[in-house]
Amino acid sequence: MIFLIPRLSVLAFLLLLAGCSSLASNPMMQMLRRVSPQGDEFDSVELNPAYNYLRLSVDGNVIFIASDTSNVDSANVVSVWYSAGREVLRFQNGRLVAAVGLTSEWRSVLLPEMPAWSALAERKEPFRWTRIRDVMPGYHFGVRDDLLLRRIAPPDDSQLKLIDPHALTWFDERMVAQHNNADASSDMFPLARYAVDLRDAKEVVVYGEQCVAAKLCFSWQRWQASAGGKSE
Amino acid sequence: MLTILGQNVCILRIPPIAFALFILALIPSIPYSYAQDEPQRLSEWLSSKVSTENDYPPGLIWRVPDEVANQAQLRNDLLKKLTGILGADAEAIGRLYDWLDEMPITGRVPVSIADSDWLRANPNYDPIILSEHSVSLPKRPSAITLLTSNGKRCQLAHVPGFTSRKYLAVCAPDAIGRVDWAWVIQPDGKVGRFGIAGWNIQKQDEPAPGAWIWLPLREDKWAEAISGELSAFLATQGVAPELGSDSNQKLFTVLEEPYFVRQTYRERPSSADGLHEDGGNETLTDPVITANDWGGAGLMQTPTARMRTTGHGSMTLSRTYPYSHTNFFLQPLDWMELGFRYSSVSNRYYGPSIAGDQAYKDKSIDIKFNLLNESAYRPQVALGLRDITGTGLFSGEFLVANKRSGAFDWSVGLGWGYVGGRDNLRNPLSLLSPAFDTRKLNVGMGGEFAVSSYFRGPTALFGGMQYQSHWEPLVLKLEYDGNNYQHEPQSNNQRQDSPWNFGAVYRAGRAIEVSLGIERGNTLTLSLTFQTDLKKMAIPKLDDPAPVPVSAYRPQSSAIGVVTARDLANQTAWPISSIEQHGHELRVNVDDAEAFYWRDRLDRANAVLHRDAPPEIDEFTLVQNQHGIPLVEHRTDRSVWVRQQTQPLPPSEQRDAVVARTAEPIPAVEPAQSLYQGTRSKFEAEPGFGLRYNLGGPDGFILYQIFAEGSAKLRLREDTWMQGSVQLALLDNYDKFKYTAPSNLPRVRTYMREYLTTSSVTMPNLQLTHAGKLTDNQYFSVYAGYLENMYAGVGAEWMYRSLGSHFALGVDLNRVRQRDFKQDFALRDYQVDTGHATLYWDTGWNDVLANLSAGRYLAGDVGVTVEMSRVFQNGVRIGGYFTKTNVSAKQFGEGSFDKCLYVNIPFDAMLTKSSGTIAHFIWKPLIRDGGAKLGREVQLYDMTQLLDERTLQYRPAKLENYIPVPSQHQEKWGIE
Repeated sequence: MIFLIPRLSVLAFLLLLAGCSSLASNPMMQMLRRVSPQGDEFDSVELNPAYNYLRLSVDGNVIFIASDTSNVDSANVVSVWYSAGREVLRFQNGRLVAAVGLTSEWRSVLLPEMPAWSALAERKEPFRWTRIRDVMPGYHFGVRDDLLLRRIAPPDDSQLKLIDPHALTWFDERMVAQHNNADASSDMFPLARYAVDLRDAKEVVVYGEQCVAAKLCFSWQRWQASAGGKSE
Repeated sequence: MLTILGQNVCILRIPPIAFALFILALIPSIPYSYAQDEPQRLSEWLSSKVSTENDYPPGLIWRVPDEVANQAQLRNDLLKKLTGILGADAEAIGRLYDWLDEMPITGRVPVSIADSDWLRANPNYDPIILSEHSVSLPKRPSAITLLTSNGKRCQLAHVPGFTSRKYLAVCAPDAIGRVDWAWVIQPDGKVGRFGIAGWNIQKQDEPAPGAWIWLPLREDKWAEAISGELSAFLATQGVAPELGSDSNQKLFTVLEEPYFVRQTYRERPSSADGLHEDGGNETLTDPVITANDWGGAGLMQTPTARMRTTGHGSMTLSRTYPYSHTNFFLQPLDWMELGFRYSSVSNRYYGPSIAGDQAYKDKSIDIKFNLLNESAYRPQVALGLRDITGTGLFSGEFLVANKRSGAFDWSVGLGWGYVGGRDNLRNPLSLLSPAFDTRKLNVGMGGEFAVSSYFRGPTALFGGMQYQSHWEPLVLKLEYDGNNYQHEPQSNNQRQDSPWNFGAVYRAGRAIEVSLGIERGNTLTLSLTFQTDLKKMAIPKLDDPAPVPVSAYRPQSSAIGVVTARDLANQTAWPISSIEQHGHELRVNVDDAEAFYWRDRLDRANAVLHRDAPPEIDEFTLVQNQHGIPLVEHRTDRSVWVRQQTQPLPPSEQRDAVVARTAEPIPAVEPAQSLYQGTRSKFEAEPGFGLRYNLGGPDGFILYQIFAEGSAKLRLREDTWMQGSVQLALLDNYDKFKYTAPSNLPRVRTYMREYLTTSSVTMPNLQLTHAGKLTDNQYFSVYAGYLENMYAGVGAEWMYRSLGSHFALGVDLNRVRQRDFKQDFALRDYQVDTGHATLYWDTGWNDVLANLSAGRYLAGDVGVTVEMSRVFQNGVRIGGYFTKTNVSAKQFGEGSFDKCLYVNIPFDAMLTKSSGTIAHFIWKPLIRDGGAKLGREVQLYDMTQLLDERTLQYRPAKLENYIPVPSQHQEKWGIE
């Protein structure tokens, strides 16, 4: 028993020191906290109601990006969204039209005139369309994607929060070909998905799954800036 | 913070309130409403413009009249060089001269990303357009302009997916084998140099619409020499003007149509030199360098002449019966590869008397030098030595050459010793002397450079090829082994059914390689490599406080006070002792600050001071005191610094905002106004954890201990303090630690086992220190106590070191006595006088630092220690040292002399919170008693590190999504 005394006294001394300089502020401890898995607690953060928010989920991690665009839901308005890391995403009618400041960027996107979501929902056949992008890094300008959009049943593996998936109309979008990209690593993108609220004659895309590059994909959801966080 | 960082996604978070503040902070400092001729942010100019689909932001030109003179000078220098070229085609030179002479001087300053939304969010990238500036935004061009060294141009339609090589193949199929490098000048002003020949083909940027491509022909040696300047000048031009139908201006293929249509390209020349083509796309990969079984760049058993990128570090675990190797390799210089390894021989025992049934272990060091770089006609050549200082079990040397042809990389070499064990060739060096026919085995004490054995004895040819498959992660290898395994050490010959080895490497990302193959025609081989580029190590500082936003304007009144001091301390983690105003200067006294990336912390401090300082303050001075000694003043020109932080500056307006100078007392012309006076606790303490390990000993491959540590400091005066630490073992496998190394010298270090295992509670350090400054450049310290875990005593150090000098000189003298194994207050009998004179030298060559130390060591032996290291801008340092004393190799024992390799990595490069400390990864093959130095906790060279001019140059490596400010002067790392 007596041999424990030096050990216990050192432990007590270390605990005393911990009071002087918190272990929690130790750089190593903070690093360990960072690499530990993240729970859903981040969804309950309080957001400023003066702004619109998107809840982005990237590889299971959640971030919020904000917009001061007034009418983000209008089909013809390009909404601009900022991250705190000063990256910029632009969406038009639920489709990504720019991603600037990320490791993979879409500097410019040319979309054709698209049918309304409600019209797409009525189609029996998939809708084939083409998107042209200027991609960085690498100056891959004029990359052409052939895409096939079709209505699907509500999936059960989405990241959608707080909304019944069956209340929304779902689409998936498959890249059937990618032309004109000399980047050997530019594989075909995984499936994109959109969830659109078509109730009450609305055409609001409230949720999407999208890739900026084959290995940089995220899901996003319109998020209400009220206490506790609510989906719109 | 919150961000997306791309493919290796890293999520940064901020609280929601900070979020809102951030959004507010995005609002640019300059108001949006301006008269036409008032300053305006580029983002505003872009937003106010009616945009169309045909706008082409990469071609945006921001013209600054002050840049015209420099650009005119650039062109004049270029023209002068052209006229000075002798022996070249005069007509070609004349064409180039005339063409360049006609080009306008634009005064263009490049812009990072001409995207109004992104610029709004990033004001420090958002230029302020003054009334004398102008901006133009071109329409999207559709052409690419090629220019070769015969002075002619060719213009083609831009084709998405085409690289320079393909455009050249269209313009001039006959030139495709005569051009090694393409210089691509993008419309946004970025210049890239890319290999396009079979031997140097690489991944490359596509030329964007409106780009220039400069293609110097191989036979025009002069052309490559002007490429840099020519490209820099073309970058000032923006989008290349589209040529009309004047076919005189076109080169090679004179196109009747203005531009090709896409179908035309399907008829273009097919690939050459091993390029993989698939329809319109070609698959380009960078040269791939993978590890061999021995950890160095190579095939399987055989080495190649290839060198990894400087700063590369790797660990390779390989197994080919009966050998297992754990290899650590580093690339400190672009021409030198350095490695060490532990080898295990599974069918031989280490020795029952010391290690029971443990497999035999061997340690060895390798080195390889690049002798010749590859070019179109000559191979890369390297000379290497394997196992140069060990027991010589696997010692061998090689001279090897590599030549690449697209996806194939061929190697052929001559091996001596173990590398050339097949002995199927007479040693060509025996033409010089018959002594080269015989190789002396060096298995005595080991550790010595066995120079008399190098390049002697068995000699054989070896070689092979590496093939980069269409599937980028897969690399295939085939080699002819130079060893037939019939002269293996320890009479351990192995049957060889075939001299050909073959295998495949799967590269899982950039960090991991898995290799599988068949060697000797009958043995499976497997290896696993973990690797990284040490000089690029960086991590976002997610746990640092968010930096204080910098306004372009000064506040109307002073807010300097307690909040300023608190925020300064919070932002920098520096103890602030006082803030004073001296006229137009604000002086902040900082005590015992710690940092690694000092410049970053200074920027954080300046942001706080700028926020609070009254408008009349023009200069911020942070006086850095170390233990009461004023070492350095970091002076910031407020106006220059604020401009640098809030806008990109044209090159002509750039200058240093922060300079270091010797700390001097302020002349009492104006009375100082004290704005804050801090108090500092005399006692400070910190808990922590640590790991210590011993590799490759006879008791187990790894012996480790995880311990908790508490360190404390009691300041008796600013220049006099008591410091100490206590450790508590938490977890270890020291129950296996049985071996105490033999020694013929006083046991000054070989009681290591006893020190590590006797007590789980230890006091490694408890000492009283007094430090001071004798003259402007001379410093001293005296100390007494328990100086390190094995020694206690008294000592003193003196150092001469001046600010920014490449040299420093230090002398330390100590009288010490060995401590008890328990590391408590008791002492043993052995005592010695020890000390050294040390010359510290920043060589200014390749960022190499050298220390030369001479003196008396702990065992009473006298000798010198030579230390060399390479330091990178992110603070990572790769180095090694050796000590040679008057102790003979026999007296020294196994290893023959003391030596060590190390890698130092700042915690700042690895952790999410800033820290001033450094992680030391040390590899010492053996710990013996000769050449052992006292480990002093307080050293003047470390204490005066702020006098090193590199202090302000250390920077975090750029993160993957870092976007440079193209107009920003790029600091050169190190001293040229």
